[in-house]
Amino acid sequence: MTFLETIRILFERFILIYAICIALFYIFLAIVSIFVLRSYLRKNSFVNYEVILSSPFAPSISIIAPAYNEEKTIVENIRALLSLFYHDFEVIIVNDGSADATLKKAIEAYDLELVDFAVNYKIPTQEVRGVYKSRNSSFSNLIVIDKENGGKADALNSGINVSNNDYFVSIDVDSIISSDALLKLAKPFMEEKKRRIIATGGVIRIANSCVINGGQLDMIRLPKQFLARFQVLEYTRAFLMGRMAWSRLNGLLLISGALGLFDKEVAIKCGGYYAPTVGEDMELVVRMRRFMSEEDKKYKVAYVPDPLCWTEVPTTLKVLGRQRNRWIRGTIDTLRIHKRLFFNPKYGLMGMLSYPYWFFFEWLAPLVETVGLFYFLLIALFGAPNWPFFFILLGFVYFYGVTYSTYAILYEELTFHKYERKWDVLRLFVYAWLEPLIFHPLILFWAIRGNFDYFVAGKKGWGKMERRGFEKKKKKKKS
Amino acid sequence: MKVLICEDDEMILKMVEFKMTREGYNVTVARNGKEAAAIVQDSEFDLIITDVLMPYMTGLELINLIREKLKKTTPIIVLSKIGLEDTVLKAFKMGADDYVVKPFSPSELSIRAKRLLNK
Amino acid sequence: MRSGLLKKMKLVTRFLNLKLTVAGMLLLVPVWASNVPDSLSYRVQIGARYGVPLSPEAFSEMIREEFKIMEGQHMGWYKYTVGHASSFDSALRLTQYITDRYNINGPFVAKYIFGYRIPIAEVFYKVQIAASYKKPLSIYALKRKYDLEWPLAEEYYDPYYKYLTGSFLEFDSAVSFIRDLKDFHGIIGAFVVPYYLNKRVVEPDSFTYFVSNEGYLNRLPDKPREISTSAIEESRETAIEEDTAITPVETRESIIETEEPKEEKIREDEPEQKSIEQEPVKPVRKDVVRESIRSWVNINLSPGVAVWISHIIDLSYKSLLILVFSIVVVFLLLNLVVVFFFIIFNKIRREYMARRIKRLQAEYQELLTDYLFDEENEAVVYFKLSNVRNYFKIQILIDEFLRMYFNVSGEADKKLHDLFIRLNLHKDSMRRLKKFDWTKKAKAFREITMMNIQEAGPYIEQYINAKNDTLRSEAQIAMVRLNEDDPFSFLDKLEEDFTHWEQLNVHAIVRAYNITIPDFSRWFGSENDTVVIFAVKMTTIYQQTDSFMELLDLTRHESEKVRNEVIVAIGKMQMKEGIPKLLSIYSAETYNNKLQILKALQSIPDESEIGFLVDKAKEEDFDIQLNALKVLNNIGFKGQQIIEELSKGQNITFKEKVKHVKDKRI
Repeated sequence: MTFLETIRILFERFILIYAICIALFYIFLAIVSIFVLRSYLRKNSFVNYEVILSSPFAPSISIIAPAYNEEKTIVENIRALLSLFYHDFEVIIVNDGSADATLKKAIEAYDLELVDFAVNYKIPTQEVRGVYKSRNSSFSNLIVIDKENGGKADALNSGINVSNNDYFVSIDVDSIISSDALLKLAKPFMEEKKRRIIATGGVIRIANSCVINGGQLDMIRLPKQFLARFQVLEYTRAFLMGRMAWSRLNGLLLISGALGLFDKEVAIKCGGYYAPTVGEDMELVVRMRRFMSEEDKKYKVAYVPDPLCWTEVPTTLKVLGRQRNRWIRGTIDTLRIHKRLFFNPKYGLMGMLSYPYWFFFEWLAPLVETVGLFYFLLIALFGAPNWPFFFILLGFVYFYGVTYSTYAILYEELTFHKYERKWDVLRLFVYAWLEPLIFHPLILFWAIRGNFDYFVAGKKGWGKMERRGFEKKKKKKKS
Repeated sequence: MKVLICEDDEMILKMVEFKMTREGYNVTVARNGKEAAAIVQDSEFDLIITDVLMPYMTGLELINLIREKLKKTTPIIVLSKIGLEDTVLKAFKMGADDYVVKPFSPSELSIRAKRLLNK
Repeated sequence: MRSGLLKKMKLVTRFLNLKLTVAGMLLLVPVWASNVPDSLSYRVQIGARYGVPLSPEAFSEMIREEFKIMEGQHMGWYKYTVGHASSFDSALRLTQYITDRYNINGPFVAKYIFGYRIPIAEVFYKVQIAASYKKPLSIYALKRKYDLEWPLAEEYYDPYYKYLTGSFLEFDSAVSFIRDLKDFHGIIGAFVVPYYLNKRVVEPDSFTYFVSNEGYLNRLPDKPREISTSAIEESRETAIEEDTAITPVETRESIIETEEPKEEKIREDEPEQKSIEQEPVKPVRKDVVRESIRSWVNINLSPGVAVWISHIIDLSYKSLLILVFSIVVVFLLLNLVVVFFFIIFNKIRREYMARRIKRLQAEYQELLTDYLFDEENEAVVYFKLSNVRNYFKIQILIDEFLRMYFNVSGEADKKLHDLFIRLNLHKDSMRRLKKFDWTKKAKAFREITMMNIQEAGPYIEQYINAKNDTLRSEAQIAMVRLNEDDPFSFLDKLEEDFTHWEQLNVHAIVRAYNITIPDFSRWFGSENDTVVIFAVKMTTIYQQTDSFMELLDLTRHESEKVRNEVIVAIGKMQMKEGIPKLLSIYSAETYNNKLQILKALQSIPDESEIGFLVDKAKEEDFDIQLNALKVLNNIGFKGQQIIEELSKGQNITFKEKVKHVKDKRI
């Protein structure tokens, strides 16, 4: 055999082995997830969360919501946060140097006034211009920070500096948080005996096309827009079949910035969020984990499968593309910053399994897949492909994807079944069949672009994400 | 006598409604703060019984609305799960006349209501 | 017609350069002559020996003269048979004859097909009407052409595709079928093919077929040979030297079809192909499966798809990888179908259950509300509720009871409780106490707790230290409620950590049911730190200021967390007596506790602290400074004066802190 032939065969073998490994690993994660979900549901089947509401035993929490150019929705967002069910919490809105009337609207709506707050810059941030509190005592737990622009991570750090409580929740200001979210997020912290829970994540659900009133979810519906529908499947897979397993293995590396509860002390000791990165949510979790490992302390990162946070996902290719581009760049950033973890037994499961997983199956996967596709295309055009073999393989890859998504629908149905209408579920089935053909290639493309932007073009910052506003949309529907 | 009951827990709402109706009051119900606010704008009541934690608008905000914005002096009883001193004090500060903590005794609630109505 | 047939055959055989033996002719002839085919014959076995052949002398001369004795090997035995009967019965008669005439021990009938020994049953015949080399024919086309209404199966024997129809137990029936095919459907040259155990029996070597386009030849191991007296020695030698005897095989698979002629290579070498040459003849079952799948595919699917699937099937047999992937794809498709239907079914079922439950809940709620507030209807309600028998309904009823019970107090409470007992619902809760499933058990615990069913107390007490978190927590809550004399006695026995969650739940129960609080200082000395923390917290909440001495002692506890709790307690209970203690332990404390001390002092501002505070206000640490200033500010006029003095000459940040401290809104 010639050298070229050897290379060819090795390459094909590699792709085959890679595909099989990733397929098997996802199945493994899915199976572990079953047990975790079952265990969680059983344990919480008759928990009365209202019990914690008025309990002095529940930890006090600070909700930190960075806001940038949110003038359209800031008032209703703050209202939604203030009406969460919990006995002792403060809502800290960080106006990250908005160019629009975000701050002004908040001041008007909530009767805010400047107070003489002395900020302790435990974590260095951009300068705080002012701290505001409400004259109206029914909003006494609201604090608004006005500061120079510094990015989401910087804004969160600022909130941490001002926060008075032991735990903080980082959220996206325009997400809808379910009214018992705080209770459910706090529970793991309160149950754990031996290890220290440093962070808890929640499941992010898609709010597009849901009917929302005054910051409350009135009716849950499957999004109408096709890109959003694909994302429903994607999120369900990621959360119910992936992260649950990771949390059980205590290998969870990512808690979505849209909702996460953190141990403030540990976060500060690590130095807070790392501002220069676009993947600040993942980067902080990895750093916190690393810190605990290096200090030789037992810890855990937990996950709550309840749908606690509903967020609007991008519906245009442009915005979605930017989002995915940012995600992959964030991943690469985190992987690079913490490359010490790679197969390093000192960091336990995180180093030996989680990090390699992210490296091989989250970062490399789109690259391998794209290369594989191009290779097949080349072979198809110029070489003599073994067509039946090729089609069987393609069939396998396609049906694997469809089956996995279908199982995701099943998992959702058997756990929280938020989509009550049969038609919604049927539509999801259809989309499961369409996804490998339509959505997945897009994802690949954006991932490659993200890699390109990162390594070649050196782009590391944030793009612009547009906000649509829930209420406005609803009003349009009525007329 | 017109009474407004504002409560998001269906069971408690029904219970209080039932009880007050039996006592002879003319009862209107609201299932959340927003509904109650709308109702209160338009009509007059002799007594308002309200929960604190409700969607859209908390009971405390409702009280504030009634006292500050609408300048009404309708007697208000707060019926809530939260028994924390903080909340109770806040409620009174905002203008509530009485505070009953859940679990509550329906007969006790009724007596307190009568007391306020007789004033 | 016959001459034409023979001519064609001659051409074919000449083309393929094959011998046409009489035996071969014989097989064609039976199509017309209904003679016994050489294929199937019944013989009589007269002797056998294992491992070593018998010499002809073993048999009497007489029998050797009358019959031709055939020697065959079968499973390591050398077996000797005579006769050639067309039916079982004639063979049986022959057996009788031999027994009577010759002194042979136990001759019996044996069945042979083309010289191979088979069990008596399991043979049937099919009729082949066509074959094609390498390219499959369209079955629909064939059926249409000959106007066949019988199913036509395609069987693939690489590299030939063969088309067969019919299935007959008797050879004769097959023959008459062939006549029908010719007479009514114009099919010429159809012939009988015997099948043993669903596998085609291959004909002896020199046989040829009449085929639609090209000839076909199949190679076989040899059939048994005759033993002649002259050839005795020769046969014995050759039997040992050459591998010409029938090789021993398993009984069932004594008929094996060989694979495609190995000389012919059809396609270019792919890596997968090599494995075929190296592998021994594959087990029969696999091929049987393959053939049946192919037949099914060919019959039931359209030709285009069928061809593809046939390709895939063939490839599967060539490459393990493809086989695996194909199986996986099939498996995935099955999954899809099953999951889809399951989800739909599940959804419908859930909707139905939800509606049912909702209806019942509303019904029971109304009944209970009626019962509570409407004296007239009490009896009616009681009657209705006592008729609820079904476990499912009872559970919903109990749940409604609990919900209502949880929300009310006072006499409404008592009324509900009495009704609960009268309806014997507590018996149902107790029944479920013993369940193995811990979720059901825990639920039962909860019900017992809420409705205060004292009887269950002793049973539940065993679970205070259960390994299962939920059971343990529910047991603790139950103890607090049920144990009226000493609700917190379980704290003495608690071995596990008393988690925050459990503490919270216990406290909630205390609040909900107004449990009488003991003096919690009793547990200040507990070995379980978490119990101590709980005790301190409860002391604070219930303002048990009498325990202040014991609290102060706890400030020297070895656990930082305990000390933290104590410091908080001193602050919250505004124990002025604790001030000196706080000041004295400060320097030895951890950073967190130091801050906590300062925070506690904010609730108990006193001039005695001033010296200490001034000191701390000068510290570098932001939070320490800030909190110290806060205390000073709270002390009153004197404290504020001190702050003024301190501010002199200080930097902006200090002044900012002062302002912060003074701002009442923060």
